[in-house]
Amino acid sequence: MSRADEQWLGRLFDESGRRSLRSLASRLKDGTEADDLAQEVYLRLLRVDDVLFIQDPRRFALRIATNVAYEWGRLSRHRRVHTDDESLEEQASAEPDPLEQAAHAQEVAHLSRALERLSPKRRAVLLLHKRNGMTYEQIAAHMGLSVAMVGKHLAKGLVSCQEFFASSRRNASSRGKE
Amino acid sequence: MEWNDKANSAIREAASEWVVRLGSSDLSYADRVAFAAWLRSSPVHVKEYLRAQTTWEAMDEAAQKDSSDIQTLMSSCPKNVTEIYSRSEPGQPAGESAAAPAGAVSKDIDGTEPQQPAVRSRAWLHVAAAIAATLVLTIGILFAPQWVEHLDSNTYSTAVGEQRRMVLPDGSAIELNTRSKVRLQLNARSRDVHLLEGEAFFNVAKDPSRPFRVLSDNAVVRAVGTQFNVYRQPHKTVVTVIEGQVAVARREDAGPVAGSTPEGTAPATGSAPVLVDAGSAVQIVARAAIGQAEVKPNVAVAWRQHRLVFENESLETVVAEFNRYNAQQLVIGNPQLAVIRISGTFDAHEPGDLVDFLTQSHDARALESDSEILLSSPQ
Repeated sequence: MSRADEQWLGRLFDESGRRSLRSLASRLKDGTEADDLAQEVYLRLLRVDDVLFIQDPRRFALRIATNVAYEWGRLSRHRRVHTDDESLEEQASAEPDPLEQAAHAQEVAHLSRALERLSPKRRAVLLLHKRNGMTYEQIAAHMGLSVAMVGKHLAKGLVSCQEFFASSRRNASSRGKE
Repeated sequence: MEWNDKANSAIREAASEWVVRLGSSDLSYADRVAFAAWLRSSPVHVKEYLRAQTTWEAMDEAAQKDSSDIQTLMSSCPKNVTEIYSRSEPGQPAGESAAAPAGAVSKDIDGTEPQQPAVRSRAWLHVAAAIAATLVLTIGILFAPQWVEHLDSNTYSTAVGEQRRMVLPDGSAIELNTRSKVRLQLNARSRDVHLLEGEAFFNVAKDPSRPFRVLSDNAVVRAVGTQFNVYRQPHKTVVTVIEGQVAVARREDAGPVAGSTPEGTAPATGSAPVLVDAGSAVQIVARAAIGQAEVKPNVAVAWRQHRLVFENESLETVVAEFNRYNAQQLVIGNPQLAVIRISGTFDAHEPGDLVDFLTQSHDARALESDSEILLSSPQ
């Protein structure tokens, strides 16, 4: 991984990176925009060199996806489209979208409710990782589970949160529909 | 509509598993190759992966806001540790219980907080092993008031979904599974445990002067320095040996207290003792020879890690097992569903995971209420 790329991945999870991810997330809601965006990311992924891609597939996928989301955001604001080498600074320096911020706050509130509905054990596993910062191995030791079980709980917890979130979004949008 | 689509939900589940796997500290080259191939096989995979990954990131904030206490959450599936001191064991230094098998010590680190006082005081006692037993009993009572009731009653039980571990003065350990009950009879000549209901795992400390016996319905299991599991079911008892050897005999009537039987002999009616070695299992049924049981040792004791392991079992059997552990009971609505074969490892306390599995792979439907989950196939 090049130095610039390393920095890119690290900074994806600081403040500016989080905004890019949120912007990406907002474009992945139900609907044709999500499908179109996924299609574009998919095509670009196929063009990436195999060896490079396998070095860090998550990085490539997120980098391409946040770029596409950014480009399309700028397109919709009738601005010129840049290339894949868009830096995070440029993405972050775009004015924060108040609609996006409100949507994000609502998403976090939904996720909090989703967490409450998990079984106590599953919720404990998730909190130990996401809130207390334990690794999967540390959680396994702490709770007397296998690492595989910890992974299963985390994955199922993530699915539950997505499903709960989606169903509330569905209800909200169907109430507000034309 | 999109979210209810079964094929899509399978992809969503796979995407979530990938998100979690990508966050593990020992992600291998093979993992990355597999992920790359999965991701690039379809735009739907890309879409679900991106959704899962961005939700995963957003969960950080929600998690930070969640102020739940971990110990409180974990105590909903308690693995209680109970120290047992018997007045009929004078001169037994309490330090002996601290010499319980290594497994006992590590289980305490499970973090079940009501037992923290017991762990702390046991460590203290180990250091001060020379202190007289009566003084130890007094300190024990001061540290953990709940021990007082156990000094008077020799019966221990677990509720649905509960597991409990007991350490005996001789260093033996008993782990009680869900919905189980034992009565202890420990004296200078013998150590008898009556398994009145359910299932228990025994880790027996060697004591040649006193046989250790487990009595379950009409089965008598005698052990010397071994680890074995006894599962009492309505019409049979299954004994699985993990380490060492046990002698299993059958009594035709389960009436009188077994302590009155002369040690080392089977009662007048019944069967001659059968020796069972580590890795083997037997079942004891009324009015039949003690036979081999078709159960693998690792499967028989998976419950100790709150796991259920099934190898080509009927759904009927699987559901019955889950229902031992959960107040919310699974109910099979169609006879066609009951004969489905299930293989896999499940968390005993997550019947929802079995339901997910069935809706994914067998097109089952689930109707959930507070007390039950009704499973059915579409007509």
